[in-house]
Amino acid sequence: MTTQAAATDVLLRNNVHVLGNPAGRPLVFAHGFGCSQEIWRAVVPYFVRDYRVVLFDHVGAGGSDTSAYDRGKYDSLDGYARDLLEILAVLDLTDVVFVGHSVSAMIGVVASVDDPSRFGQLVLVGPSPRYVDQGAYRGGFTQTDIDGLLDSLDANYLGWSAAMAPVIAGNADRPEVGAELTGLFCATDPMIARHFARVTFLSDNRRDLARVTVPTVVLQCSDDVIAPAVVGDYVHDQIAGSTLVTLTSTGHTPSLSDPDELAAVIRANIA
Amino acid sequence: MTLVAPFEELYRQAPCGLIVADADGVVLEANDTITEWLGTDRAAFVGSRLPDHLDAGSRLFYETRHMPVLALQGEVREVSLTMLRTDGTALAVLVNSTVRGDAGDVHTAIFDASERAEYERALLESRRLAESSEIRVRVLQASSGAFVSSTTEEQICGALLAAASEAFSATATGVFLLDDEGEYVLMAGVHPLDGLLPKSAPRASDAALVEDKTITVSVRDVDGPYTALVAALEAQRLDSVSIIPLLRSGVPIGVLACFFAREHDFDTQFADLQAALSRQAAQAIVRVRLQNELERLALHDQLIGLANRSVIQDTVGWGIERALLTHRPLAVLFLDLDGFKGINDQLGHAAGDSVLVQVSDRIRAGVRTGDTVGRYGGDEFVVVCEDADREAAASIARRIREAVAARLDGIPDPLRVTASVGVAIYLPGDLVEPTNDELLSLADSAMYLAKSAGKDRVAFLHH
Repeated sequence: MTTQAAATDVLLRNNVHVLGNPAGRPLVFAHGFGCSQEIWRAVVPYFVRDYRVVLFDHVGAGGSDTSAYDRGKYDSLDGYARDLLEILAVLDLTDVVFVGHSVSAMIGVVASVDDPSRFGQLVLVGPSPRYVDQGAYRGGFTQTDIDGLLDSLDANYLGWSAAMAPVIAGNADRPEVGAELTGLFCATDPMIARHFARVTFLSDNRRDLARVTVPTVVLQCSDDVIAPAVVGDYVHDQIAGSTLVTLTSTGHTPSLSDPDELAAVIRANIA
Repeated sequence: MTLVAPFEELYRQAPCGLIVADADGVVLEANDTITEWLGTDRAAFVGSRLPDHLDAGSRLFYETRHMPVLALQGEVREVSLTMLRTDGTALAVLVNSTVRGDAGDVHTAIFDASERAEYERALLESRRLAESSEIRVRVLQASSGAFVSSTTEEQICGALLAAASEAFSATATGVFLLDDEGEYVLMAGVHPLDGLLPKSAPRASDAALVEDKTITVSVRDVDGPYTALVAALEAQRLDSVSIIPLLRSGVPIGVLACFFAREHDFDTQFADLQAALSRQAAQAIVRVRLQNELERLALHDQLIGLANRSVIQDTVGWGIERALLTHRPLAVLFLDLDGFKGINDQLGHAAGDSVLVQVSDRIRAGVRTGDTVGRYGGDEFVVVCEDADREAAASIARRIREAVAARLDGIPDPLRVTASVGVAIYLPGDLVEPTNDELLSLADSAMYLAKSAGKDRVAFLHH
C-alpha cells in the first residue's frame, strides 16, 4: 500500500510520462535549466517505435509538483539525482539509456555514480561539470557572469511585461494561445528558477566524472557558448572510455535547433 | 508616385532595432538603428550570431530560456536583455521575437530600455534587500516564539533545527549538545558523517566553541587540521560543513552544524542570522536548565521556587536583545505588596512566609507560558513578559492584581495584601535600547507611581 502510494507520488511529483514501445529498451530523456520535457518534443518521435520512452520534469519545472520543492534537498545536483533514481526504481527500469541535456547530463552522471545498476548508457548532451573558471580549469564563465544571469532572470520575472506591453509594438497577428502554451510547458516559479540557476551554474561536479563506470557518449554542439568545446573535451577526458561526438548544429539546445541530427546521432551511438 | 522609399526609410530608421536572423541566431538582415546603437555597421553585423552581442548573463538566459521558449512557442515578448556595444559598454534592451516562415527565420524588434533598466536595477536591489531581511525577521520571530514556549532542551533544539533549515537551505542540519562526558549528542536533525569520524581526530566543533566563532571546513581544506572530516565529507559527496557554537557566558553548550552539498559564498547577513539564532538558542537552553534546577530546588523550599534577582536581571537582558532582533515589545512588571509589613509584624515571620508562598503561586498562575517570574527581594516580585505590548501587559497585571487581593489562607480578616504593579514597556525603535538595570528601574518607578496613586493598582511607563 505505502509503496504504491509512494510510486504515484514520485510519478506525479516529476510529471513522468511513459510512451513508445512497452517491450523496448528504456530511453530516459532529462531536460536542462530553463525549460521542461517539452524540449524533447521533436526528438521523441524517432524513438517511440523501438524504445520505451520516459519523459519527466525536474521538481520546479514544467508540470512538476512545485510544492515538493525543498531548498535544502535541491541545493545541489544530488537531490535531482535522487529523484531520477526514484523514477527509475518506481518504473523498475534497468539497462537504461539516459539522455541528459545540459545540467541534466551531470544529474545523470551523479545518479549513475550512486547506483550504476540501473544504467546501460549515458548520453550527455552539452554537459558541463563546472561553469565557473577555476585555476587552470576553463568552464567559460566568471562568478560575475553568473550574477548577470541571476539579474537577467530577476529582470525577466519581475512582471514588467504586463506593465510595458502597451508601450511596445506587438505582433498582433500572433494568437495569444501561444503564450498560454508556453506558460504551461515552460512554466517556472521565479524563486525556484533563481535557485535552480544558482545550483546549475555554481555547482562543481568535476570529481564525479572519474567515478563514472557506465558507457558514456558526450555530444558536443558547435559554437555552444554555455558548454564550449573545451568543456566537452574535459568531460570526455575525465570519463574513461567515453566517446566524444561533435554535432554540426549550433547553440546549446540541439533538440530544438536540429532534432533530426540529434536523434540520428543518439541512435547511432546507443551501444 | 511611389511609396517604396518612405517605407524603406521607415524600416532603416525605425525608432527600434529590427533584425532578421536564422534559426541558429545568425543575423541575415538588420536596420541602421540597431547597428548605430551597437556602434557597428551592417557589413560587420550581418553574418554574426545574436548571442555574441549579449553580455554573459544575458547570453546564459538567451540560450537556456529565450531560445527554447521561442522555438517551442513561436514568439517571445518583452524579454529584458543586455547587449554589448562594440566599445564594450552595455545597452539594456527589451526584445520581441517572432518565428516566420518555413525556414524558421526569427524577426526581432529591439527597444532601447536604458532608463528603464536603471530604475529596474534599483527596484531589484531594494526587492532583494527586502526579501532577505524579510526571511531574517520571519525566521527570528518564529524561532524566538518557539524558544520562549519551549520547556525542554529537545524542543529548543527542534526549534533551532527548523529555523536553521528554513534560513540556510543546508542539505543536512544537526543540533548537538555536549553531555557531562564532553561528548556531542545529536538532539535534532541528522548527522550525515555519523560513524565516519575517528574518535581521536581533532574536532572542529571543539575549536568553534573554544574560539567562540563559526568554523567552516570544506573539501578544499586538504592542508588543514581536519583531514578526517574532509575525507568524511568527500565520502558523503558533501562540500562543506559550517559549525556554529552554542555558548552562554563562555560556557560551551553545543553546536549547530549545517552541511552543504555545494560551495557556498556566505555573506554577512548569513553570519549575523547564524549568530543571532545560536545566541537565542543558547539563552533558551540556559533558561530551561535553570528552570529545571529551580524546580528541583523548589522541592526543598517553595519560596526559592522563583527566579532570584540575578536570574531576573539576566532574563531582562536577554529579553531586550530578543526584542531588538524581532522588533516585538518587551514588558517588565514590578510588584510590591501593600500591607505585607503589617502581617509580618502582627503575625510573625512564619505567617509572612506563607503569604509570600501563596502570592508567588498566584502570580505564577496569572502569567503566560514563557513568562519568567522572580522574587526581587523582600516582598518585591518581577515578571518578564516577552512579546507583550501595553495591552497584553495590562491584562497580565490585572490578573495578578486580582489574584493577589483575594483572601489568603491562614490569615485572619481583615488582614490581606494587595499589589502595586509598575509596568515598563520597551518597544524597539529608533531610541538606544535600555540596559537591563534601566528597564528594571523604570518598572520600579512605575510601581512607585501606582503606590503613590493609592496602592492596589497598575501604572505604566514607556522607555
